Amino acid sequence: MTAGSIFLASFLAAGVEWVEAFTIVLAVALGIGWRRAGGAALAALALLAALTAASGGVLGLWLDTVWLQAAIGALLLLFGVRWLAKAVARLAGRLPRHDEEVELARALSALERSERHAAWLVAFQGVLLEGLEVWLLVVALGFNEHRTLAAAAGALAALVVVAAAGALARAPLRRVPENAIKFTVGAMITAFGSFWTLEAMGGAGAWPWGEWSLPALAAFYLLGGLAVAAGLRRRAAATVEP
Amino acid sequence: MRSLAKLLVGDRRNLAVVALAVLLAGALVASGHAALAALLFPLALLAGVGWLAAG
Repeated sequence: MTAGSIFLASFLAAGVEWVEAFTIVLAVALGIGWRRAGGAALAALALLAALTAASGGVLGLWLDTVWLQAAIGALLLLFGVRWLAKAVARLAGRLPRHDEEVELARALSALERSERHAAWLVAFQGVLLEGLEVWLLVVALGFNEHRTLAAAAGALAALVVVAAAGALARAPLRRVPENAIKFTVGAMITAFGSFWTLEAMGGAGAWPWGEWSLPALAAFYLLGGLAVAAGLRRRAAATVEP
Repeated sequence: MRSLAKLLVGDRRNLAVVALAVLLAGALVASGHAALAALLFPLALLAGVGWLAAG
């Protein structure tokens, strides 16, 4: 393979992984702000770079990502299920909805500090795991063909393109109401958590549509959460009526 | 330490929902029913979300 085709293959394959990482950062940023979520992403990338440098570039050759995937998947589930359940309860009227104007203004207050720390960790872990997958791609493509530089350049170019596209999407997303944000974040994080946890247990073929199962899972949790909220509202109304 | 655990794991009900769903999926994968696990795992988690939201 030529350097150009290695660059392109790495660009496309890494692009998919970076989009997944960015989706997590995006979801978390909607809850805790872009600065904190971006900081978590940068911290993960810095750790990845440090690990790569410390291991002399052989990080991916000894690291078993399955255990990491299982651990991160389980943590994402614990976080995503909690957020989704809270958002469903608010939508069903079982928890008071936050005043969205006030909530936005006090987004950095101490009230939800623990959730913000957990959200930071989610973004950090998501980028770290996806970054490791990109690292493995670069190793696989570059080492096999002795074109590591082209493979690494393709992966870095994909990161720049995905980050630039994400920066353009920031402004319109700021106008989304708070509970809708928590609902979406919970559904997306739960989707990533389920995907990685089952994949860690059952191998790459665990999901019938491969990586395309991720958007299907997110849609399932979003629509399912709406249905659960509607069911809870109906049940509450039936209890109130004589 | 306790607050860190709570930060990562949430409360007991949250932990129970995720643990049960993962155990169910793990048992199905181990017994060779991975396709069924892919179907029931998200359903179990959504049912857990409903239980947590109702509680």
